[in-house]
Amino acid sequence: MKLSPIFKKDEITSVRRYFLPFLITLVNGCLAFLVLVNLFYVSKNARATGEISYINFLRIYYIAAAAELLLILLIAPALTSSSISGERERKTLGLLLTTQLDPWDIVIGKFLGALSTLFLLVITSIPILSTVYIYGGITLTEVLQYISALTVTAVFCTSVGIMGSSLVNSTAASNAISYVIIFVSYALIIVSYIFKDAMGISEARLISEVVATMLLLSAFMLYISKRQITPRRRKKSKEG
Amino acid sequence: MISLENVKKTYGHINALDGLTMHIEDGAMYGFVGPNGAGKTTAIQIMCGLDFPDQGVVMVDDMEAGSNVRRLKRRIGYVPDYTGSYPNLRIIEYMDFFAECYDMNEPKIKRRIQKLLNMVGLADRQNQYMDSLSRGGQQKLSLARALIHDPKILILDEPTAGLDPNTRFEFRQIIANLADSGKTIVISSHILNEISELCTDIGIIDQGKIVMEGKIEDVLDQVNASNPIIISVSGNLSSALATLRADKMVKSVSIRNKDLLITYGGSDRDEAQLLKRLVEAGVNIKGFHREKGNLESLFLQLTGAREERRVTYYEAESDF
Repeated sequence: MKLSPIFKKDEITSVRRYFLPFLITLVNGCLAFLVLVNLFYVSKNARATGEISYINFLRIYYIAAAAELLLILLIAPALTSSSISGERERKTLGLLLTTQLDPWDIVIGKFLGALSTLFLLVITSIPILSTVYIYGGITLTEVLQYISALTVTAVFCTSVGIMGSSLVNSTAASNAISYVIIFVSYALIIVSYIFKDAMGISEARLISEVVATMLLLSAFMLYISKRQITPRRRKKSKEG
Repeated sequence: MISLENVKKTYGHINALDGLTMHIEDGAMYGFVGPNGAGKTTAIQIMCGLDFPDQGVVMVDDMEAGSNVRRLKRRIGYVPDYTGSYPNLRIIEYMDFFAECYDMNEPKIKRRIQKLLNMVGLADRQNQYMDSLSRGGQQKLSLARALIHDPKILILDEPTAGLDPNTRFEFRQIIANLADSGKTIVISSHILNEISELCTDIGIIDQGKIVMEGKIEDVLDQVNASNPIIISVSGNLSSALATLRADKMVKSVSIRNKDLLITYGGSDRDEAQLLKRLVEAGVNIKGFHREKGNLESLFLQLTGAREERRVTYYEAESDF
């Protein structure tokens, strides 16, 4: 299979910047710090009481997992907010559109590029999250569910970032749009989760509906991005 | 052939193109000139498929622009007035990237890139990063990029703007060589000497319309015909002025360094008669010829010299 030229180009330029190693170090540093602090308190507590609480080990995993999800929510828009607007700022978008590339190729190439960076973050954090396996308590299904949640989050946030980036010319404005959309979306998810019983929806159904909605919205946002960068014929007026 | 028929384009309340009609023959080197804001870039972007007209028909190589976009893009190479660079890419990677964007097959890519980098003189710098290039170097790279898929038509929007004279000369040589290879070249420029030296055809655009179009020598002939007649006279001017005043074809007269400059509306035969009458009136004539036109005078005449001409008329009236 032939790699998208946009994806390939973005990967080359991305690995040449200090940003990517800095980001990996920062994310894993934050996660490692949380895990080590928790481990320290668990062992301190064990020394003081003579008891080892396995619940506390599970708590380490949940904290690290939640922190990673939060970091992805924060990082994904920052990674993608300049994807299209950056091409506009560099005046390369017009050049790309004069080639054989379809606007879809550009949007999908950008999407895959940002997603690959987020997956790199997830993969590099696996050793830290795996500390929980020292003591057990987390099943493989739970791990897969967590990775699926991260994947859906990454897909959604990347799509939001790309759409924001296609709607406006400046990267700063694109960032603002993306964070607002993500904040509102996740606030709605949290509110729905809190009131799920009042709405008479089971947890499993709520999760599956949220996942389906997020994936559909992601596809829709990528479509909007494609439309935004496609040169369009203006609709003729009735007199026209 | 590229043809635009009655093309209109508005941005808000601004008429960027107001019934633009222009025709570019296959193999022509077409100079597209006009003042800032005349609509050159809009017209070029429409030709390249980066924008669409509100009204009118744009045909590129017998295909309507916007209908068969992939085939059309294959035939056009576009050099904008900016480079559009990726600072973190090496020159060779930049070329490679655009070759892939044109879906070229691998074995062909390397040979084509080397040929083009040799042509623009960047082959020995191919492993350098793009941001190490000067403005001239970046513009040469932009030209090489636009030629990567060997397009039949090359469209250049102000390609030499901001370049030093040496680079401009080199750039002109490259474009002249490309024209010899049979490509249709459209070049918009403010440097009118460049256009008159390079181009076979010219279109002058003002306020979204073509105000003059044709073969460059025909256009210059027309300019010559509309230029003033310069009469060099020795001695007293009064009898010459009296004779000129009596001729209804003389529209205005002004004096420049002891020469009389007249705007004359008559034919070649009328001009000969005027000369005869001046000689018969005893005027000592040292010279009688029409001022040679150039593209610059035509451009000013058509697009922006209305105020200057009013001054000339004022001078003429005062001299009379």
